[in-house]
Amino acid sequence: MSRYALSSLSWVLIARLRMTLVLGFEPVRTGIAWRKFKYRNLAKLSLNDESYAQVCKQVREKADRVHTDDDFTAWIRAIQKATLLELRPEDPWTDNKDLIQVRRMRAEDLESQVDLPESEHEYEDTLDVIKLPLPIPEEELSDAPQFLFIRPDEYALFKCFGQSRWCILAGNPGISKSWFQWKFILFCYRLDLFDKFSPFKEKLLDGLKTEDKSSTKQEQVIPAESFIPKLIVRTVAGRRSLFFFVGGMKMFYLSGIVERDWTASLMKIQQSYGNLDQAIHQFTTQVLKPKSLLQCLLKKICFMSLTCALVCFLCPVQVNSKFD
Amino acid sequence: MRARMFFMPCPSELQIRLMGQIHRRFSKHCPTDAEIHERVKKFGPFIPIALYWLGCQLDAFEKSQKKEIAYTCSTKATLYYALQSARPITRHDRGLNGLSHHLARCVVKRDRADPFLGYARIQEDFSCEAVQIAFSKTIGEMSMLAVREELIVINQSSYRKMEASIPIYLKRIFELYALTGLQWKCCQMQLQSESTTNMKWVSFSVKLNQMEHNITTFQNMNAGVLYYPSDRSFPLVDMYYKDEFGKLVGIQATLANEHAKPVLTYQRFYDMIGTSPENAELELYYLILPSEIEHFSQSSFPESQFWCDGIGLQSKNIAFYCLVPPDDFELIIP
Repeated sequence: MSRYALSSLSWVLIARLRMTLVLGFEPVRTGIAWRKFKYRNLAKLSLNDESYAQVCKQVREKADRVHTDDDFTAWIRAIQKATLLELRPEDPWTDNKDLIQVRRMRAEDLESQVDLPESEHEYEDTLDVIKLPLPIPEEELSDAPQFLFIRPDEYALFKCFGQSRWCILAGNPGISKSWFQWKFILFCYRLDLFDKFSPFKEKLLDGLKTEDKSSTKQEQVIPAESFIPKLIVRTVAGRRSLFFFVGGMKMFYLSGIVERDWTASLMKIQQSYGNLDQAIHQFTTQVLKPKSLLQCLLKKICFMSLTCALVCFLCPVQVNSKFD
Repeated sequence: MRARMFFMPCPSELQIRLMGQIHRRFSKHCPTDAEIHERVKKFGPFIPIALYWLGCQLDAFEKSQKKEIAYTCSTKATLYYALQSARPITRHDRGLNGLSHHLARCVVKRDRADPFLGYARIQEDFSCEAVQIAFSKTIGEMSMLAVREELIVINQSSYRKMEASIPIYLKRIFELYALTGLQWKCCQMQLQSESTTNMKWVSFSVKLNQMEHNITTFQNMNAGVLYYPSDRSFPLVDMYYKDEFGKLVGIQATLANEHAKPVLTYQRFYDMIGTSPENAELELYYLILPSEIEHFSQSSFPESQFWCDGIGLQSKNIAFYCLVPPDDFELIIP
């Protein structure tokens, strides 16, 4: 089968986790952590039909229930296919599933200029408002689930994440750390968006030779510096996981992976997730959002305490050479 | 296995207000622009608080905030512990355990020269203007001796948790000493483009008679009066006075190595005191800790040290100085 035969497809599978005991720690801090790959030849790696089948098979073995999530499938497919459109201040937002609309907003775009404090850094002066082709399925309770607000700091953080093996993102509660996960995923799928709007001259899509922004082309691009994962696993509170195959492949929700005692330590989590090592490859970034397990987790892995409300770990796991 | 910690700074008020503008398209419950401004001022730049929270949630937060301020400011020990100890920001106040996010927020000093752009280092700041005012009030009531003791410790410490508190202490000691008659040292900070002489530290003496907290125009200023506006949004300087030669002097307590301000800030200062650079020569003194002197001992400084978009400002009547107290923060340098 052609290596990229499934590139134009996007699936989302959902599964329920087995119920796990949750320790009664109150969430105190927020973070996102990401372990970068050991190997730098990522461009040579690609999820293909065979590796996808392996991932699915092994995930199904571990999970209670796995199924396709049509909403997420449609959402990610729309992101992959959409054309990037930068709006001028006078351009109206439109309802168009074929567009990712971006408007860079500044102080002059504010309805009222009253009592506007002096900014301390240029990064505080702009906000990129992005209207996605479709609302984010998990965020439908939000007033504006179709919009992402990206600050210059978040482009910078995405860049930082590509340069460390394990990362934890911390900060005060209520500053959009959770939403950063969606931005992280969006950037991974649409490096062209990152390149166009980030405050950095260096581009991630140096190798892109075509105007075609489809995932198939994007998949072949060599990242200039940063590590861009091919598979992102977003695990929320240990109950379910969402697999994003960044290279235009399929994705699915997964549940039931985490063992009952996974809260005890990171090592056990690793061992539990170690079961997935065959399924989640070197080119994976794992996003964990353990919430109430945070304090317990951090004691084991973080050597220093964090600050806020929730935590995510993004950790690529071991390489499996047969997928190389 | 060690993880690298990155810190996400809080959004700016502008960014939150822009978010609110989008949210109002979809929700009639989203606060108005003015309400968001007030919430940020009162509670800090936290998105849910500014955009979503109901009145009862805001009340509860405010209650906790006030309780924590009252406790933290209750004794010298609790104040010191909160502002200078190496405890991280916690979600909830737990007594002598550092500040919670009711009072403090993470700050990142962005730095393009840093491999991690500055996001791997954290500092803390007061969460909002209301909290800063509360702490300023407490420090503003401290005795000369107490402020001196605090500053000596801060100056000797390599770890500075709540840097934003340090200028408050510096302002307090200047305010106290200026009315007594201080004799410290200063040196002019020359622009690279205009550098003509070597850096020379000279004596800086001042003795003022009284202090006023209202904003007074240059024409109405009296010699011997320290004008220390209580309005926190007063631009460019913390305090100003007219010296015995009628020259305008501004004092800005700072820890920042770079103090670049937009020209608009300079203009706002002149506007507020009813004059212009052409009509009032300004001597602007950066009041720093003695331990910060290294940066300020350069022979000359790039324009970016003082203004970020100030083409043409060189020709204005502004001279920049660095003002340093002695290590023991005594009245007179021995």
